[in-house]
Amino acid sequence: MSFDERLRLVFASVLGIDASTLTDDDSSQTIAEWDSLTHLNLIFALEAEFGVRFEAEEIPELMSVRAMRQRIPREIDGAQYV
Amino acid sequence: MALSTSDAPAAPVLAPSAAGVTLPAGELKPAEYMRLARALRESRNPSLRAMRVAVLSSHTLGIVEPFVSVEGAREGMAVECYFGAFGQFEQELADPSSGVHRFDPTALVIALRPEDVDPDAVVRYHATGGKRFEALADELCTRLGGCVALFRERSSAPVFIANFAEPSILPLGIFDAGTTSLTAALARANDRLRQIAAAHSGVVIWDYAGLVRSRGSAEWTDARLWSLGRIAVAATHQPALARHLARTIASATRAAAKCLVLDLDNTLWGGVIGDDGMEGIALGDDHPGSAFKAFQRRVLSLMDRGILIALASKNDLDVVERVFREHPEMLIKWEHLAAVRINWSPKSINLREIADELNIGSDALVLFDDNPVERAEVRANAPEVGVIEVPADPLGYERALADASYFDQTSLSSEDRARSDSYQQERRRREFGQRFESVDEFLRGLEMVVEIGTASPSTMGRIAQLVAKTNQFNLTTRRHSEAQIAAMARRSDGRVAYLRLTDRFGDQGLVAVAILLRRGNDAAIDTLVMSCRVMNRRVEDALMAYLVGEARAMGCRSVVGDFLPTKKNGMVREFYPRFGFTRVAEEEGVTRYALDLRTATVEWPAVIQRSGTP
Repeated sequence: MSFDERLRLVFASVLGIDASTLTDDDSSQTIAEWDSLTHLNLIFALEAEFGVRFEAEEIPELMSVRAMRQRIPREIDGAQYV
Repeated sequence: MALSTSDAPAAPVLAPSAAGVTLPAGELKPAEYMRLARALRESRNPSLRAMRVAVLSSHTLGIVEPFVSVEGAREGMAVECYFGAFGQFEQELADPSSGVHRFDPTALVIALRPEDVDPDAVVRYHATGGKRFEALADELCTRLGGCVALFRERSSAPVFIANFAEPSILPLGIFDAGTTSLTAALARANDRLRQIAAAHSGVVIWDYAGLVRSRGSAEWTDARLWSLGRIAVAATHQPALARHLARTIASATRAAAKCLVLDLDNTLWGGVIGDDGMEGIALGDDHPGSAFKAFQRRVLSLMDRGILIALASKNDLDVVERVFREHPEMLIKWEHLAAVRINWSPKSINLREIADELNIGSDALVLFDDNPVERAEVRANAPEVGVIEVPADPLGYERALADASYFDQTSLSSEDRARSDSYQQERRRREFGQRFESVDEFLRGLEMVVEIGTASPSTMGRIAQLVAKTNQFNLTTRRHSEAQIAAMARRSDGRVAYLRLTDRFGDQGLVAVAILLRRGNDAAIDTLVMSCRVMNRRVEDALMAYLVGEARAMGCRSVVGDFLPTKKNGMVREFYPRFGFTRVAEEEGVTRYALDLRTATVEWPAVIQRSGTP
């Protein structure tokens, strides 16, 4: 699975949405299921999936697909996934 | 203790796949939990037992809901959760229109952490020489007792109280082990929680402290989650917490399995006895035999809890018996075994035969067999039998046995501990019976004495256990909880009666329970259950004679009893007609019988003596 597919799968699993409809513009503003508790579930599902670790202060900032997509590869082997 | 659900399954469902949701075994990623939790919610799998779990906590626990859904399903439950706002205990429980009461829970979980209520009492324990913590523990215990009482005004559902775990940082650091330590004070507070649980019916300690200890307190809390949302459980431990909670709730609301059936080769010893011989098998204090010896000791610890041990193995009986009798390192002895099937028949057939021989349902059996082919055969042909997933490495056997929830018991009664003895007595009784010409002569020879009395705090645990676990000799299969039974026992127009039996071979313990409730001019038998191991001994005649006498004493004109058929209670279909009851109604499968006390009675059986009640 590519980085993009894995990312979509986590979003789809946690938020209960169709992975194919997800775009980088999606955020807690556009997806009703993305509430504050689900956000934490999303954060820790991404940590487990990609072996990354988010700092406490950035967790409330990562409120869109784009923000997460840009943030995660910085920690994992970027060349392989991006 | 038990819960008033319908016919509770004896064994957990580890991989239900109905309605399109397949639960994979083993560890799952968080995202998979979320996906499965949603699928479970949407599928509404009817083979799962519905449970509404209300959680009141001093820290935010709502985040674990998807994990609880999945782990609940692994234990055969469709769990729906309600999470109260954190710290709102008495308010929620006192107000009849509160969220928790509107939710109408079938289980209530109260998770209170001392450090959430008063951090100084914990972190600065020594500022007051521990006095502030002692006062806090007093307050919390009083509050918890009060919460239980408030809940009991409206519900008899079981209550699970989380005990107090050690925090990750202790006031005396690595030396927090002495008499003046917080650790010691927490242990004392947990003792008091045990007393609160014992003082109320239907209250079970949820061993949160044991969970934190086993996972490691140092990493239990993730500082990020705590600071972001008062979430005390790190993401990595949330699945384990959910599993622990689901196991706790499931075990308190279903019957535990009764018998562990073991394979032999590469299960109780290393190697194949038929090929390797007595000297060649691995069993002893050195690797690799040590793993098998340790496993045998673990099996015996289950026997100590009243779980029967049986063998089902493709082997030669003489060879196997010789190992049990002569191998110096065998910890499990031939006498320990309740049933033995050593032959070349399929395991599923042997398992059903073992169940028949022991007079228990085959869904009360659990198989431990190293061979995946045998396990698959049993899963396919005897799907009601519990099958433990056995790891390839024997060093993992002990853990596999401990991690399977089939034998979880919320409490241990003296009857449980004596059960394996009683099966040995039963063998001696059978041999004794062969010496007599007639049944009556045999029964007189048994010198049976029964004690019949009404429920008291000391007998309530066993009474509730019999009501919860009896499947076969059970006229109505009404699974009243301990709290509900206690409420019936308090009624002036009701009797919760128990029967205890002793004979020349020993004490059989409390073996039958009947609940008689007045309904107008009738005395209605709400519940009548008896342990199958005392069947065909006219013990039920003694109980009926007692009930009829009580009905007369209550001034009733007739005794009324229902038969509610289930898959398992066919043996009591003709119970009431045997005593001269006539069929008076039949509705939706329920047959109602009545005995007119003006014209009929039930005589006390002459082969049984009645002792004075204490």
